[in-house]
Amino acid sequence: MKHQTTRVAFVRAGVALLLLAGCAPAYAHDGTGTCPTDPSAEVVAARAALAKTPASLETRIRLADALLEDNCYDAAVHTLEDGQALHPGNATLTAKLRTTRSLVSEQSYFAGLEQAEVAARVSRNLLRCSRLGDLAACDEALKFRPDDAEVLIAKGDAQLKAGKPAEALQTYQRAKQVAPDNAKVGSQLAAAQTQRLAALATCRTGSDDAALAACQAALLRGADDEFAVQTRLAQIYQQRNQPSAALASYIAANALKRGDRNVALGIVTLTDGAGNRDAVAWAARGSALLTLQRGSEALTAFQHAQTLAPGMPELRAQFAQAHALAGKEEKIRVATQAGAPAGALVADNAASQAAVPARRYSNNAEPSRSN
Amino acid sequence: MRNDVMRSALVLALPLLLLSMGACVSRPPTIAHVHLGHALTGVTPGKQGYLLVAEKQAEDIVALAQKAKINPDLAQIKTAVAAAEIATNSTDEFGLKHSLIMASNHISFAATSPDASPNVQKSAPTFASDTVRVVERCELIGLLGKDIAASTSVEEAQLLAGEIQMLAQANLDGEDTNKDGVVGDAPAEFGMKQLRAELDGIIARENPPYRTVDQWYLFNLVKLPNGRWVFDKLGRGGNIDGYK
Repeated sequence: MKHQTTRVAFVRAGVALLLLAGCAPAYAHDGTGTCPTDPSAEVVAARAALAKTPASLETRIRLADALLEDNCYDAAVHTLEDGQALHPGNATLTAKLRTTRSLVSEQSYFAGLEQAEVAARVSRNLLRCSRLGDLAACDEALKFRPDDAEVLIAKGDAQLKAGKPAEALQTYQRAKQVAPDNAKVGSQLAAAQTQRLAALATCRTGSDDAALAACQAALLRGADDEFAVQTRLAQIYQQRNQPSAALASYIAANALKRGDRNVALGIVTLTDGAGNRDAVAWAARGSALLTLQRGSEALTAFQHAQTLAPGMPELRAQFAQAHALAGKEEKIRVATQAGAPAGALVADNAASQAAVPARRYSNNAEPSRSN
Repeated sequence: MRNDVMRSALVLALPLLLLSMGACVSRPPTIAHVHLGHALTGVTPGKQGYLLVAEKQAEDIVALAQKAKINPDLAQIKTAVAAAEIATNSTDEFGLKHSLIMASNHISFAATSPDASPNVQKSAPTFASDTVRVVERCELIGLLGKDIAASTSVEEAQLLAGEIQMLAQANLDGEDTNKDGVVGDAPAEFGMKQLRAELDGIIARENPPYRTVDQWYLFNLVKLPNGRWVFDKLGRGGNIDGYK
């Protein structure tokens, strides 16, 4: 009861205080309003009126009111301050100026409170990121401070702690871009690189859960060994009878380096079944069949891919290669049926393959048992 | 001759009498000082001013957070932190954040009063912006409190309770974020101790001097229909707004 009475008194006091402060409801604001670039019609009209009669206090106050309506608090203060020279000591103007200045400080106070809220959220996320290794919190903190080296280092540390050295390397590299002189970034980059090399070793030699986790941890986009890690991942998935994941890794490897026979065999094996294939799988199958010199089959695969996704990049060029290869295969077939020696045609075909653009990687590994 | 002497004595005595009478007349405080009074001595359930309540809450939060930090039992950590969270951010219970914002608001209202001194007009916006760091720590205590409420790990809860304890201590005494060896030498380091000193400074600079505002004035400042603010000596009530 006592609390209720106090609360009623409190609400009444609040209303009274707003009135006392000269905050007519029209001026009430929550600090979020911003002064628009294009002034309202009221401001334009009031400005025009004041330009005609600069000595009119009423017109000046009308302009100040219009500016306040538009959340242009600073402009309103300046308008009233300009009037002080024309109306020295005028009580109305003085009172209006005092109230308007209060609105300006109120606006900055509200902005401060909002910033406090944001800063608290960032601090909370930074704390959880650095002390608890909460990666979601790291990402939340980076939303507010994308170029903050401290947050980036904390995220890298959390990734390293979570056994994700490749991701940590990328994060530290970003931190290095932002703060090249930060000593901690250098040492953490080295630590991440060491952890990644250890993961790579396990990835290359093992085939169990640890090896799979190691490959995932070591996979670094854009690294020189990305193709090798993707291929290894695909092989491990295949051995563990996870065809979708295996195909995804083979496709990723194939996108990095076309013409690898191991990868091509893996893709063809995994897409031989009657399961639903999307445009990417059809295109990968076509590309793999091209590598394996199976032109007419490649052509069929590309046709499926084109039907599903006509705008797929690089499809046209590969389509043309498959066309050419299929044509040659047909010539060989016809020539073979007619009893002509096929050697020349085969040599011609090999020359055509050699014309394929130079690739970024070389891999002379023998096909694996799974392939 | 005797009459002359008497007249001279009367002439001397009259100003003294008038002066002494004047000294006995209790003058009402300025409207600005009534608002300052609400920040200092006033309208909360315990009839304390908002700043006093904020200081008391800041002390309680430190004690609660300390209790949570050293407790090995997750449920008890959560209970202590929940209490600290209420003391920090509750509006109904006049938590630290709410009380401090209300104190700041009343000081800002004082600055917009027609009888506000230049000192109050100048100091109020500074005081308001200086409260922001304490508000930020309160927000962070609230967020960490929610994390503890959702936590299933004693280690995590204790770690976060430790952070809350440090924030609570900083809210009470200030902190030394710039590591210059001086606690609270910049607004970004302020706690309640520094804010209290700032408000005391504002009060000390007042001219006419600020005097503790009587409760009657605190709750009888009313606005007449014509817009004028007066003290409601006749207890008219009715269609008038104010602190009654």
